[in-house]
Amino acid sequence: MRQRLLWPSFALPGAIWLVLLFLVPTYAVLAVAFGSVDPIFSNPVPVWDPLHWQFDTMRDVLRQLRPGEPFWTVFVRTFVYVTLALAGCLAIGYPVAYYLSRHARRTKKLLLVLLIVPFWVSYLMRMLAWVGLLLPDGLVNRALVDLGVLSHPYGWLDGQASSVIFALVYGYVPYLILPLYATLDRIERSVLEAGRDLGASPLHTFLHVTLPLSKHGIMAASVLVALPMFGDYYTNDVISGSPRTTMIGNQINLFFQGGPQRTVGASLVVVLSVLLAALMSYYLWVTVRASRDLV
Amino acid sequence: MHPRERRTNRRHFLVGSAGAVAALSGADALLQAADALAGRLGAPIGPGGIPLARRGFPVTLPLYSDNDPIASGRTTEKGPLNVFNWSDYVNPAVVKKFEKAYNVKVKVTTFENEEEALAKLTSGSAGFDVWFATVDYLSRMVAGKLIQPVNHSYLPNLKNVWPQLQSPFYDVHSRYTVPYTVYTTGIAWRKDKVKTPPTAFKNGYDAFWHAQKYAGKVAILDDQREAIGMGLRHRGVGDVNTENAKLVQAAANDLKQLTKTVNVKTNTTQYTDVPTGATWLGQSWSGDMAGATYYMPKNVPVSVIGYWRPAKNAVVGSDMITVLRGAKNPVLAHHFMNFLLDEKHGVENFSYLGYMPPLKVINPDKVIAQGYIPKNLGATIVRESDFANAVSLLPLTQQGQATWQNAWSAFKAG
Repeated sequence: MRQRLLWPSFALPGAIWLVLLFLVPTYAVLAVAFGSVDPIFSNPVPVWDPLHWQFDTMRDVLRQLRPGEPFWTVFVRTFVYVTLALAGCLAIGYPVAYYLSRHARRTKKLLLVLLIVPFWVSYLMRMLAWVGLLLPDGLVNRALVDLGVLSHPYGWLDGQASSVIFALVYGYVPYLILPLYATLDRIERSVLEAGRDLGASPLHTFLHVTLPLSKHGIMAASVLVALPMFGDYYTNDVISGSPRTTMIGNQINLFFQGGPQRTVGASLVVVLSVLLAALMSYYLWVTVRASRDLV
Repeated sequence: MHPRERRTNRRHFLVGSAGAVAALSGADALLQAADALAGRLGAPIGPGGIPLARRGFPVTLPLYSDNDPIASGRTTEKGPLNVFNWSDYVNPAVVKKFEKAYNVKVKVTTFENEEEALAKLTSGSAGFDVWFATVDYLSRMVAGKLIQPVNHSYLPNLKNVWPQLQSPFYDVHSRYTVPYTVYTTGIAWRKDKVKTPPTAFKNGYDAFWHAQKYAGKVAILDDQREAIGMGLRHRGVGDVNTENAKLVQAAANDLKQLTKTVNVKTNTTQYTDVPTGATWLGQSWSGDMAGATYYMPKNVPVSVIGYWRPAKNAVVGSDMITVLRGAKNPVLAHHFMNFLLDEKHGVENFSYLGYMPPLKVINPDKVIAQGYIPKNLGATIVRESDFANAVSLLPLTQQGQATWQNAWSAFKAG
């Protein structure tokens, strides 16, 4: 009996954590989204009983999600930014992870430590540091002008979409490299050798052996960085501030920062979560299918 | 009147009109009469059932039998005094002096926005004594009984304040607050970059709509009331507290035009952005620009910065100090308020903040002569006459807040 309870008990801390810090807060968001606000302070009054939920706010939010409406514009923009930033992260991160797992020898440990260094500094601080670098007379502009790349300082901070996407890539790329590295490092050398023994060129081996075997890692790492990017708002706040680059996180923040419409903010969170859950389901479906294929 | 507001809350309110105070009983007939009176006077009823303060419709905040001011002549507590304030909004040297004078410790906890502050205060576990408030939240704090009335016997220095702020329209007889700072909202620009500054226009606010040449270097405050309020002024609407959805949306649409023509940025960092040149033309608070000297890059003199606000009907804001209802050190809290209203300490505080206390002793011309404020930024100084002729961003009903927020959200969606 004791034996039978021992191993499941290992899952207990995780289960408690999941219920207290994930399921309850998620339900609280629903209770706020479908609840009301108090008349004095406009604080949200969550309604816990689904039978008493009010759907007016959600209907209104969904109405504003139709093409051409404000929330639609912001959602589409967010998807485009996250997709581009993710592509940027992969373009930078994959070669680094590949190099680390395949070719770095003595320097491997040092490089891994260096990869973790960015985590020592908070994300917000790193973004603020970029503001200093990207100023009209900041280091980046001065270097580019001195090198003759630019004739005059570029307005990186003038509300540019490109700056926001670059900042997202910069901010999230470390989170992508580590899981990718873990996957690539696990690919057995013998498989690669077999590929080459069978006459495949290095490029062929990469395309037909390494890449398919790292698909899992790419998906997992992508999910890991894309999810927080979808909810990100401070990158845009700090680097741009222009309404042209507003992401959905900024709109959610707008409704939570003040005013009597926290229910709208919570409804946007629900909509975003549902969309992300759909994306996650696709990811799970792909991974399940991939592992079935392996068998 | 928003349907979500509970009728019962409105039993408590007092309507102040020209100093006359009418205490209302629970009788429905009286309530209706008061409603009619408030309606006729044009003062909308705000959250908590207290009429929203408007210039011309001063509000005497209600007192409650279960929320009395402290008695006079009490001995001072031993502290520590817990102060809840905006970040960087009090001179640490002045706080140190207070600690020395009263032989207590002062713990200053800061917040970045009022919602965050309110969340802490309404949770009831915060344990703060003093809170730095704005007009926007005042009536809600009173209705929610989060702050306590002040006892003037501990506040002799209130006499140092401009006479009209000794009994301000938002808190007649200073029942709950003492004033802390006054400031204007205006426009800052870089004289070395902008050839069409606000001063070149009849309506200075138009400068933003003629700034195509400076696209990317134009910013407005990331504050829906300030930004849309400016849109209203640009349209020539004087009432910056209007709840008329059409007017508010039209003003927000004007801002949207700025997104198209100048890729306008929204932020509250003009105090560094204008000096560094990240922004050339930006809606700013006077207090932020008064301190521009400290943010100028090397080789760029502060004289390149200009600040404008209309000579009449400028948007003037005023912040205040309050004692929280649950304060453990209410006497000490009163002393702290009084200390900040002292002439010497007020000036010392001003030199650090850039935000001006409305003290009679502060002579605007002297402030410039003594080098507290550069000459070219003289317009950042608020004179008593400015306050008298000003418009203010004042609290809205919940319905009004939603109208403004929706317009703001649509603008911010880009």
